[in-house]
Amino acid sequence: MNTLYTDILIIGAGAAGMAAVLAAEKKGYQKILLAERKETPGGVLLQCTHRGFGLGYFREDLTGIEYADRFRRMLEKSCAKILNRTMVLQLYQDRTALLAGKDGLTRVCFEKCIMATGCRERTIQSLPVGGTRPSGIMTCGTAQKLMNIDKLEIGDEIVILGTGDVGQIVARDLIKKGRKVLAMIEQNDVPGGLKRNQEQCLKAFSIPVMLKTQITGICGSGRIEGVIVRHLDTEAEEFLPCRTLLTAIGMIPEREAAGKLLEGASLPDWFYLVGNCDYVHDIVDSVTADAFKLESVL
Amino acid sequence: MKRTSDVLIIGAGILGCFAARSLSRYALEINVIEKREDVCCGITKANTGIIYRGYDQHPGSLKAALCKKASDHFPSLCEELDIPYRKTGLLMLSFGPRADRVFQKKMEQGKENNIPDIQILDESQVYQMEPLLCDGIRSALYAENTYTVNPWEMGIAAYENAMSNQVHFYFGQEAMRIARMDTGFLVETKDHTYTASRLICCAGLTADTVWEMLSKPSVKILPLAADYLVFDRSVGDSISHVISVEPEEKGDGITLVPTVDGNILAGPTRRSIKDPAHCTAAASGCCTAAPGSETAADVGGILELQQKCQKLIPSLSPSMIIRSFGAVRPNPYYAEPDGTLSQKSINDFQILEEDGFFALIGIKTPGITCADELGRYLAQRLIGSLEHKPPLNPSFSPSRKGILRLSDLLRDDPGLTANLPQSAPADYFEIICRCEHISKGEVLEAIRRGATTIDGIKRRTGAGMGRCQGGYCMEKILHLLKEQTGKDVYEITKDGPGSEILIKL
Ligand SMILES: Cc1cc2nc3c(=O)[nH]c(=O)nc-3n(C[C@H](O)[C@H](O)[C@H](O)COP(=O)(O)OP(=O)(O)OC[C@H]3O[C@@H](n4cnc5c(N)ncnc54)[C@H](O)[C@@H]3O)c2cc1C
Ligand SMILES: Cc1cc2nc3c(=O)[nH]c(=O)nc-3n(C[C@H](O)[C@H](O)[C@H](O)COP(=O)(O)OP(=O)(O)OC[C@H]3O[C@@H](n4cnc5c(N)ncnc54)[C@H](O)[C@@H]3O)c2cc1C
Repeated sequence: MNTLYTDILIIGAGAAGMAAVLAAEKKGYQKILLAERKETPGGVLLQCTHRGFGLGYFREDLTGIEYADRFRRMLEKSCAKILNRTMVLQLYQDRTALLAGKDGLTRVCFEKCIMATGCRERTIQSLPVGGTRPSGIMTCGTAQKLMNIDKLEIGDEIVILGTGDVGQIVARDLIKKGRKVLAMIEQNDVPGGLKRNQEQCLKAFSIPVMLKTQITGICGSGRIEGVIVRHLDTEAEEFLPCRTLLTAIGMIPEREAAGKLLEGASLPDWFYLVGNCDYVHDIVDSVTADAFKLESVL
Repeated sequence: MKRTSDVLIIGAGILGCFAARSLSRYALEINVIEKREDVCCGITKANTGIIYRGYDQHPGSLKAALCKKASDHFPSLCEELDIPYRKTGLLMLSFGPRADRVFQKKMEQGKENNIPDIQILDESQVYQMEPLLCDGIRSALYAENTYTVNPWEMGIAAYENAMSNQVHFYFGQEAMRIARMDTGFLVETKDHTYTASRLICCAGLTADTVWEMLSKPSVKILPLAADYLVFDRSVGDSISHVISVEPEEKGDGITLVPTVDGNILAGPTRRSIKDPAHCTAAASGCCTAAPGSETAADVGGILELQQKCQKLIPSLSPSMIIRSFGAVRPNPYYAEPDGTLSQKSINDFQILEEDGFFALIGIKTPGITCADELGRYLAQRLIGSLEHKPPLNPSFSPSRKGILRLSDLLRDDPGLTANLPQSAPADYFEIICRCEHISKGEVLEAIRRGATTIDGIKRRTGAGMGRCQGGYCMEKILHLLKEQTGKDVYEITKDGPGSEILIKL
């Protein structure tokens, strides 16, 4: 197994990880290693073809991809060594990490580690939902990746569970592509998401929202044929036929690689969490800002 | 097309696969037909997966005999077929006098069944073994030699071994009509006919229907439903034994299983399958599989399990649930020729035989435990029914190797000096499933071994079983399946025709 030595190991090359590289470099570190499990840096930004990024940091209305590109260019000029297609499997107390990737298995010994691994989406399987488990059900993030990066179609006659920003943006993407979004299901009495998205998605595209409702059942053998929707006020249930179900029911910081490090009362003094793996940010500019703050604490 | 063999097996669940493997010890032509796209998609994929010791089987029954033998031999079977398993032991908990009395009876039954390795533990011993259990436990019946397993992994192991011993499996082949001929049987599927001198029905939930394609009703299956929950691996060490409650009141029972993958499986509930006619979805007429139909989970059942789990282990929060699913029990009843059914469901294993037609009908718990023994038993009876005992299969090998797992290698040897496959070692470090650390090499090997669907890969590698439930790996696996099978990405399914993952307009 290869062994690499570095001053700083940064895990994840999304908005947070890329800005963390710049912060560390500014602080004067010269040996910086950035590990990213995907083919290129960018993170979730790369699947965002819509605008609404960078108003804070660049004072421009960029797409996610454009925002990522600006940082990728800065990254190219930096001294950081970037390992793409390499996943950090595990961090250890003795300041080493185990990495797996196209080059095989690598051990990294480091002084400090910044975890910028983003978040994963909650799934409908974790909710008390009855019925069958057919195909045609996925999270909005997966759908967005399939549509915008792989350029694939996911299906039609869509119901979306959850009205947060991600759900609304994916709904708009789908409608623009000529797909039918039959309903968005929301348990609260108002839709979620930023005002901006409510205006530009829900209102602008007249997306039907069913407030104070939940999905309690899934129907269909083979591909999904419909969902059972419960109205929280009346407790009445209705069958809503659909052929695709997307979910946008929240994000959970992804910190698996840290394992036991997180068990103590406080984090080790050489370990930092930043971006969506610290807490879930609505706006990328605040991710970038948080990462730049690392300069003063590193 | 016509396919001829000495033996034809209908159904490739765990029982069909082990029956095929047992028979492959003999120089016989064996065909297996399965209506689904893969093995182990029926009852075998959704059950509790406990290898029972068999102390509480009715003394003198076939179940008691087979279960003890099976549990004695289980570690060596797993060695032979390279099946991952976990020796957990089983703690059956008592919260009151009724359970204490039941335990006394079970101890005696254990003696009668020649199972001396069970004991009653007192309260302090139980809490020492399982410190997170709730208060109020009086005692426990402990069966040390209890194991847990992924049942489909067992079935797949038997399938692969049977194949390497020249058994042929045909998928997408539903037996629709059976006729008796001078020389044996003729079975028709939608596009093929099969002939064989001996016929075995291992058709799980529809075994009775298949039996009645040729013979008079004898045993009928009235299915009963069940629900399960799966907890995240991060709370997997909340228990280290199978925990089961002997309830003071009917319906209060529950079982928690530490799985091979390090999760906790909770269940099963016990409920009738709702008449689909009463269901909102079916009533509207637009849906073929509504909640309440077979294999559908029930919200009520899921919530009931959540509550029971948290009562039993207060620290086990419902927020750690990663999945729930439904299951179906093949409950057998005796049927009179006029169609009336016996009052009580049949407890012992039913193996029907009529002039060369054998059937396993309504094999419920402990069918996983006894799969190998049932296969051997069936093979013996079938061989005994032949005019001439066939010679042994000269090339039979009882062993099979499972797919090498990166996560196992890392657990055993984080320095990873172990022997990786020479062919494409780089594949073994490209992670496809982020939650379970399953590599591209494993997925490619699963495809090589016959997986054609997302679920087929999940059952063979575990990819998609973790907390993100395929959110990360599904897309990667789609591409690998496309590349390897040459299929269009829009043809790739979750679990067979009609379950396409992506739909192009
Ligand atoms: C659909 C959607 C729409 C959005 N819309 C907007 C918007 O309009 N405007 C706006 O300002 N913000 C928006 N955001 C929010 C913003 O894009 C994100 O908050 C931000 O990009 C998150 O950055 P991150 O670096 O924390 O996480 P990520 O971008 O998720 O980056 C994490 C990176 O770490 C990698 N990684 C994870 N684990 C490992 C490991 N173990 N080893 C190696 N690599 C690993 C991942 O592959 C990934 O590249 C949106 C987000 C989404 C999902
Ligand atoms: C809720 C529950 C919990 C259980 N827990 C345990 C446990 O902890 N331990 C234990 O030992 N046992 C347990 N069992 C029992 C065990 O799961 C079963 O005994 C076993 O899985 C039965 O396997 P099978 O091969 O008969 O059925 P299946 O796996 O259903 O296989 C039958 C196959 O036949 C195919 N088929 C059907 N009709 C046709 C046709 N006409 N033509 C072609 N193919 C056909 C089906 O597609 C299917 O693949 C449990 C069972 C249930 C339901």
